[in-house]
Amino acid sequence: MTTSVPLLSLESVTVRFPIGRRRHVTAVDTVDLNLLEGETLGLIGESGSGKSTVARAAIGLAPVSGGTVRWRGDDVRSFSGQRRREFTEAVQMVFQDPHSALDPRRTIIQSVREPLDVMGRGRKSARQETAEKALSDVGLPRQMLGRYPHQLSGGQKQRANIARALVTDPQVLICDESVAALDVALQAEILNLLQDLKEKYELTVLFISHDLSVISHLADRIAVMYLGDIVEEAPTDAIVERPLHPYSEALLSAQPLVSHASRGTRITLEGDIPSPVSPPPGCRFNTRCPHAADECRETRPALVPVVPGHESACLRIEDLYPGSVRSEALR
Amino acid sequence: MSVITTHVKARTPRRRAGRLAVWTSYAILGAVLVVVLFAGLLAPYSPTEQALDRILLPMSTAHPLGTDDLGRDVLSRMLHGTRVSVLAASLAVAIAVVAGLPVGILAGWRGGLVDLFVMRLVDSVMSFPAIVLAIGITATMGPNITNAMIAVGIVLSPAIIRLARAQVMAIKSETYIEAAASFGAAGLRRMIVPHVVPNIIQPILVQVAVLMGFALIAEASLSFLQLGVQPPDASWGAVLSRSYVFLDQAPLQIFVPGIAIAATVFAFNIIGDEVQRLLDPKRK
Amino acid sequence: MRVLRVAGTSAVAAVPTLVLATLIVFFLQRLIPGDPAVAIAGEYATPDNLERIRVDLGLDQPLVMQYLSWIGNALTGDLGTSYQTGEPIAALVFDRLPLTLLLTLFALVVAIAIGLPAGVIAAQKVDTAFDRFLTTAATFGLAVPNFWLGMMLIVVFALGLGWFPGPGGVRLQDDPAQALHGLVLPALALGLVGGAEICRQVRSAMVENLSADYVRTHRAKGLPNRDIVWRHALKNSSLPFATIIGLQVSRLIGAAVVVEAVFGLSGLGSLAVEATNQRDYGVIQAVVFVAALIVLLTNLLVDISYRLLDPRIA
Repeated sequence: MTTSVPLLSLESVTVRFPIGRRRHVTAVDTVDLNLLEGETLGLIGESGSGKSTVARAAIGLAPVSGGTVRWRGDDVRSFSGQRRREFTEAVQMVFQDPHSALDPRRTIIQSVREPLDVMGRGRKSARQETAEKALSDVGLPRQMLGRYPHQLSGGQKQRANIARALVTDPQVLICDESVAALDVALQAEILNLLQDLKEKYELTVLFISHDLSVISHLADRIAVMYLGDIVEEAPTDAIVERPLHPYSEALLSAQPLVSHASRGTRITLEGDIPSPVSPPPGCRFNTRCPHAADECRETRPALVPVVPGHESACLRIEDLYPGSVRSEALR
Repeated sequence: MSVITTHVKARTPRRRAGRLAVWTSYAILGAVLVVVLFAGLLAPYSPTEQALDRILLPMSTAHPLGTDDLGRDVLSRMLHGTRVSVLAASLAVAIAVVAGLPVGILAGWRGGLVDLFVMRLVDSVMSFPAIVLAIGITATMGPNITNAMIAVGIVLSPAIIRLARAQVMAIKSETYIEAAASFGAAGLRRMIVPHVVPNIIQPILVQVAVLMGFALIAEASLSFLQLGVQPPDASWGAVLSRSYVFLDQAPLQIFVPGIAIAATVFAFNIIGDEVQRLLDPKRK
Repeated sequence: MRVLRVAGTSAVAAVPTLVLATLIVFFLQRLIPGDPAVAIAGEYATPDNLERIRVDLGLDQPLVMQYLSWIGNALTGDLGTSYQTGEPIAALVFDRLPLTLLLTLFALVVAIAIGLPAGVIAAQKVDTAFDRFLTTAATFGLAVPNFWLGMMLIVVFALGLGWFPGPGGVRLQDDPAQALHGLVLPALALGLVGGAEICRQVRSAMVENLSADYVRTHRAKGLPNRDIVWRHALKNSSLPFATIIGLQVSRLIGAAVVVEAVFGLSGLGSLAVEATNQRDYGVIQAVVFVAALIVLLTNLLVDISYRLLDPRIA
């Protein structure tokens, strides 16, 4: 393992949103996440797990109330002027709903060119050219340029969104549920496009999804989120073969085609994800975990390496997954 | 089966009646526009020239609407008055929009204390009966049509502020706003003008039509009370005011300005409804 | 007990609006062009006279002090003295207020009597030719200036048929019966237009209610249509109805001011017009203030009824 500085990293980042008087919801709770140059990191979790908020915190759209976001090792809060612009250019996001992410009153070419216009980069004709090139890279026919979002299909709109994210020639592309709103055939199309573009633009990708089949198809590594916490993080193969957290196990068992780990036995989780306004004490997962013990209701587990490169946050890891724990990793 | 037939029966006349009102309204507004633009060409006489030998004449071919107590041709005064009334109402609405739109956008966009203060202020302005406050402002600033329309603009601006604020709050959390913020769009030039204003403007235009109606009635009211248009100038309200004094001698002369006001206000309201219907996304 | 607590909550919530409203009234005086003392005393006033007015009005004091002393006096019922008649302004206003209030009340009754049934019926026949006709008629009614409608009523019913007295009413205090008779036409002029507006608003509130699930349930249970419409749906429209009434009071008071001038009634409106002609700024200020107080009081009542009617608002 190389110990190079991660491209983008979150260090115990906490995001709180105020709701009403002096109450707030902790959407993301002391999360650590490293995005290494060239990789595709998959972030998976149910809706309400805070995965989208992680992405928003990374690019400054959500208020970071604790912890630090770093770009190539430097605190992004210290950025200003030129440095801030470089960071904004380098990290771009593709949003979930292709339709609502495009301003209905602007043409496709206007929307795609806008990041360059905002940053005031180069002459107008050069910006127009860059935008047109991005649109052709995502495979959008030229006659779509002057159209408005409602005149495009869902797949075409998402291509336009991707083009807008690529127009600044970014190093990191954050895809927030970027195919969730599309039907299955289109999903595959867009996912293939993303993989091609990753090569072509030499991108590092943070891919956020609730869909394990999508994530496992794309990602080199996977981080699993539950109620504002990352509960497990490992290379895709490792986690799919042998998940080391009861929640990941449950997620995998719901996707028999992806997982080989628990064939046959499908683990059904009881109840819904608890409200992040009043999360359960101890391990956040204890209310739905089939293996929850008393200690799980009191002590909050930390995310620790179990095997090199494979981290899990489970108090009962040694009972539940005997033989998988390497003592030197724990130390 | 019966359900279907009643449904069809119910639909057809409704459409027809609705379309009739809409086309009538377009015709009325078109006619008003022509008069506003060409009042001088259309009017057979000067609106202010007195002829004391021809006072309070009934309708005739020479004076289709008769003459008033100073022998002035009522038709000419109505045509010139149309221009004055419509321009005055437009001024009031323009003031309401120019004052109200930025404030409403600011309140909706910033939220928090700014919003709280603006909304309190709006509430308190709205706690005055609009006409009474307009009378108070005009009477204090000095009665003339410009002051009257400034006053009407002030009392109408809360409607624009409220609407703009509500619209901004509705679109503020849209993803395209967030997307624009993600690549650094911010401020008046990069966020408010390109993204916020175009997406909130349609309902405001509907409101402008409704406010035009209100401003026309306000002009007529204030001019009737002699707080607006001052003699010898003509406006719909001024003509009404003058002819009302001689109600018992020429009762028909109050008829025409009233119908002109009612028809124009009606047309603005119908067109406002129509535009709203056309803009309704559920229609598609 | 609950009523008291609710009334208290509503009253407290209304205080900031009231304070801002008093500020607006106070700053009306600042709109006087040039020197207010000159505006009041006229251009040929002696310097002594002007100085006396400045001291009287507190114009030599800082703005905050002026406001505080004005609001302090207003709280004790002292609205200043008219510079034209020398009478206390409060007395002038309260002499004219009853007529305006009575006219507004009459007009409100007329407006509800016309608008409520019309709106309910239109809502039942939604999207039919009848509904369309009624809605278009109401839109036209809204477009008619109140004061012009008053003139037309005078032409037809006073000058033509002679059923009602023409312009130039009797003071309420002098001959109540005659004065009430004289209020019929102005109340109609106001109420017909108000009724048109109420009709439109009641219709849209009822249309929403009649498509609600509970109405479908009632229909499924076989409840007669009359009961569903007039008892259940109407009852559930009581909240929007309270809002509509609150708005109407504000509209009607404003319109009443103008209509009074048409009918020569000596209410607040004619007081304001007289004051304008005489540049009696204190009186104008007081009329505006009192009109706002009436509306604020109505809004307070609406707010209280809201809180009492809707169990979700505590």
